Amino acid sequence: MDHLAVLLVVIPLSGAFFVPVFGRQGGRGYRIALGTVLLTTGCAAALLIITARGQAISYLVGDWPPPWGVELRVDAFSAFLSFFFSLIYVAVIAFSARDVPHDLNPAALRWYWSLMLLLLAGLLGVASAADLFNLFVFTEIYSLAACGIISVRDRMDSLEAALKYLLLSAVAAGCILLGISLIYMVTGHLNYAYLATALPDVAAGYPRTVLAAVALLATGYGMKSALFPLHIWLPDAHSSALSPASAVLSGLAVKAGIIALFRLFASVLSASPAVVRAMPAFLGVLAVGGMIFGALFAMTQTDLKRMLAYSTVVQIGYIYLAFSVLNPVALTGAILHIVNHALLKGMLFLSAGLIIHRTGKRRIADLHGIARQMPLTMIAFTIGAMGMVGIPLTNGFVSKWYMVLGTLEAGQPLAAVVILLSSLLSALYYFPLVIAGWFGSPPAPGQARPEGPPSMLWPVLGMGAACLILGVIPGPVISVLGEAARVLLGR
Amino acid sequence: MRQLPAFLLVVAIAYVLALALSEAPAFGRVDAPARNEVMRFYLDEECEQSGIPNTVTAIIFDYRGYDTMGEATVLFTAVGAAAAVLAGHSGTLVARPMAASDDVILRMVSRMVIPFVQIFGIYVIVYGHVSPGGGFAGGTILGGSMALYLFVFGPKRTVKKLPLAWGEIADGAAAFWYVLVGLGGILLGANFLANAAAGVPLGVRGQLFSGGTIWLIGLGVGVKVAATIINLLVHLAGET
Amino acid sequence: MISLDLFLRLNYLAGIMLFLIGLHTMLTHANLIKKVMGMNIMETGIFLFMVSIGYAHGTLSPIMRRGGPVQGLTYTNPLLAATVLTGIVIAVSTTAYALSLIVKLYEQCGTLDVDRLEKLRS
Repeated sequence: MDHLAVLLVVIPLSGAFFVPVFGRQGGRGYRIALGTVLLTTGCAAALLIITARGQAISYLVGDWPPPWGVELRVDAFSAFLSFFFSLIYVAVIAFSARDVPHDLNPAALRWYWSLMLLLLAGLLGVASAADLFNLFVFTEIYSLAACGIISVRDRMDSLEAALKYLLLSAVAAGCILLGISLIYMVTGHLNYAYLATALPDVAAGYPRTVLAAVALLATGYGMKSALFPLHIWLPDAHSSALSPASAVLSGLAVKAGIIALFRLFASVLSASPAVVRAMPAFLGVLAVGGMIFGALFAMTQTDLKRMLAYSTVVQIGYIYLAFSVLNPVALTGAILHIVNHALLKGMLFLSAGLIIHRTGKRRIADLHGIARQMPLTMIAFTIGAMGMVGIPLTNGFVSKWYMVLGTLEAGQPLAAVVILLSSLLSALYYFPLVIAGWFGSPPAPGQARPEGPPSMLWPVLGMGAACLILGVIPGPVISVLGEAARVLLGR
Repeated sequence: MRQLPAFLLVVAIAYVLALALSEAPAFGRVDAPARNEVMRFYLDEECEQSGIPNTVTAIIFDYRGYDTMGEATVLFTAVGAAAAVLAGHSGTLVARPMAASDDVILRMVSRMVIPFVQIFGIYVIVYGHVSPGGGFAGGTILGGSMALYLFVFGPKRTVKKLPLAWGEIADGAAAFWYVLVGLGGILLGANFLANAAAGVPLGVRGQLFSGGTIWLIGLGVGVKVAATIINLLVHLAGET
Repeated sequence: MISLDLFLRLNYLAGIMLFLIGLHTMLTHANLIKKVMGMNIMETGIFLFMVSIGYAHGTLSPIMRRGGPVQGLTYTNPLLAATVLTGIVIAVSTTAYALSLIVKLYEQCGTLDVDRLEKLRS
C-alpha cells in the first residue's frame, strides 16, 4: 500500500505524458485527463484513509534510505490537501470540457490537458516532498505548468501576464535554489528529518548563513504564493487566464508555496534558534499588509475576475497570519482555509467563467440582475461570496472560527481583530455584487439567455454543495486536521 | 525611475549575503561541513559496490532518480508550454522567415559532419555511466546535430524528415519510459525506481551493460532531451 | 559585521556577484530579451556558487578511474554536480519557454519593450 505515496505523483505525470502520444484526436485528451484525475483522487482518498489516524507513510524512492536517497512523506497534512486538490481538479477538468475547446486551437488544446495534469503532479509532488531539492524540482514543475496554462490562450494580455509570472517565478526559483545551497553548504544534508536534527547545532556555528538561507527560502516561496508585497504578478495572471485555469491557479497553485513554507517552518526549522523562529512572525506582519491592501484594491476593481484575483491576495494573508502564531488550533484553521479557499475561489472563478461563457460580460457593473438569467450559477456565486466573508453555515466560517480561536489562544488578540476586520472588508466588495446580481434590474430586459449546459453546471454546484457540507458538518474534517496540525508541529 | 529602488534592493541583498558568507565555511576546505558522510557514502559505495565509475551519473539516475524524473518532466512542461504558445504562429514577423541556406560549402560540410555528431551523441548517452557524459549531455549533442540540420536545410525539410507529431510522441513516450522503468521496480517487489534493491543485475563494473536500470534510464533521457531540443527549435522556426 | 574573511571566499563571492548582476538586469532593463539574459546570468551565478561549495583543494573529479585512489575524500562532492545539472536543465527549460513567449508577443505587438507593452494593453 505504501506505493500509493509515489503513485499519487506518478499517475498525473503519466497522464500528462500520455496526452501527446495517445490524445492526438478530438476529445481523447479530455478523456485521458478526466480518467487520470479520477484515478489520482482515488489514490489520494486511500492515502487519506491510511493516514487519517496519525500514521505517516515514509516512502524511500529507489529503496535508498534517507540521507542518500529521496524520501517522500505522506502524512495527514499532505494526504488531506492532496485529496481535496484532486477532487477540485475533477470539477475543473469536467468544467473545461465545454468551456475551453472553443477558445483554443487543437494543438494548444492538447497541451492544455497535459499542462493541467502537470500542474496537479507538481502540486502533489510539493505536498509529499521530504527533501529540499526534490521540493525545488516539483516547485519548478508546477510553476512552469502554471505559466503554461495561462499562455495557452492566444491573447496579448495572457501572454504578457504569463511572461511576467514566469520571470518573477524565475527570480523566486533563484532565491530558493540559493537558499537550498546555503543550507546544504553548512549542513551537508537535504532531507527534512536530517536537516531538523542537524540545524540547531549548525545554526549555533553559522547563525547568519542559516538566517540568510531561511530568508531566501521565505522570499522565494512567498513570491510563488503571492505574499503581500510580492503579489504583483497575481492579478494579471489570474484574471487573464481561461476561467478553469484561473480556478486552478487561484485555488490551488498559489497554495503550493504555503504548503512548502508550512512544512519547512513547522517541522524542519522548529528546533532552531529564536532568530529563525521569528521569521513566521515577520511573515504574519506581511500577511496583515496583504489583507488590508488586497481588500482595498479589490474594492476598486471593475473587472469581475480581477476582483476575485485581489481577493486571493487577501485570503493568502489569512492563511499566513494564522500560520504565523504557530499554534495547533490556528494551524488547523489555516490548513482548513487552504482547502476552503480552494473550493470557494475555484467555484467563484468557475461561476464567473459560466457567466462570461453565456453572456460575455465580465465587468462588475454589467452584472445587474444576472440572477434572472442564470439563477443556479448565481446561487453558487452567492455561496462562494458568503464563504469568503465567513457567514455561518458556510465552510469559510469554520476555518475563520478556528483561526480566530487559535490566535486568541496564542495570545495574539490583535491578529484575531485583523481577521475579523478583514472579513468585514470582504463583505464590502462581495455583497454589493451579490445584491446587484439578485435584485438589480437587467439593463436589457426580455433577452433571457438560458442557464449554462449541465456539464458545466454540475461541477460548480457540486463544489457549492461541498462548501455547505464542510460548513454544516465540519466535525470529521476537523478531527483529521487536528491530527495533521499536531503532526506538522511535531507535538 | 526604477533604477534607484532596484539598486537599493540589490545592495540590501548583497549586504545580507556578504554578512552570511563572511562566516560561512571557507572555499575549498577539505573538511567543509558539506563533505560529510552523505558525500562519502556516494563515493565509497560507488567504489566498492554498485560498479558505476561515474558517480554523478549514479546520483542522477539512481540515488536521486526521482529528482531526475522531475527534471525530465520540467523539460516536457517547457516543450508543452512553448508548443501551446507557438501553435499557429507563422514565424514571418520574426526577422525574415527561416529558409534553407544556399551555401554549398555549408551544406556539404554539414552533410558530412552530422552523422559523426550523431554517433558521438549516441556514444555519450550509451557510455554515460562509465565515462564523463550521460543522457543529458548526449541528448544535447544528438539534439545539436538536428539543430544544425534545421539551420542549414531549413525547417521545411526538417519537418519532412522528422514530422512534428513524431517529435511530440517521442517526447511523451521517452518521458513515460522513465516512469515505466520506475514502475518496473515496483513490479519486481521493491520500491519505485529501485535498481540493485529490486534485483536488477548490475553487470561488471566499467563495461557497457552495467549499472542496471541506469543504462535504461539514460537511454530514455537521451531520446527525451534530443526530442525536446528539436521540438523547441522547430516551433520557434515557425513550422507548426 | 562583514569581515575580511570574505576574501577567502572569492569563488562564492563571484557567484553571488553574478546573481546580483543578473537580478539587477532583470529589474532595471525594459527590454524583454535583456530580462531573459539577466535571468540566465542570475542562474549561472547560482550554479557557480553551488559547484564552488562542492570543490575542495586538491581533489579529483568524481569519476572513478581504474586503479585510481578509492578513498571517498579525494574527490569533489558529486551531489552538487548532480544538483547543478538538474538546475541547468530547469534554467534551460525556463529560458526556452520565455523566449517562445517573447517571440509570440513580438509577433502580436511588434515591440519588446515592457513599458510600451504596458501602454498597448491599457
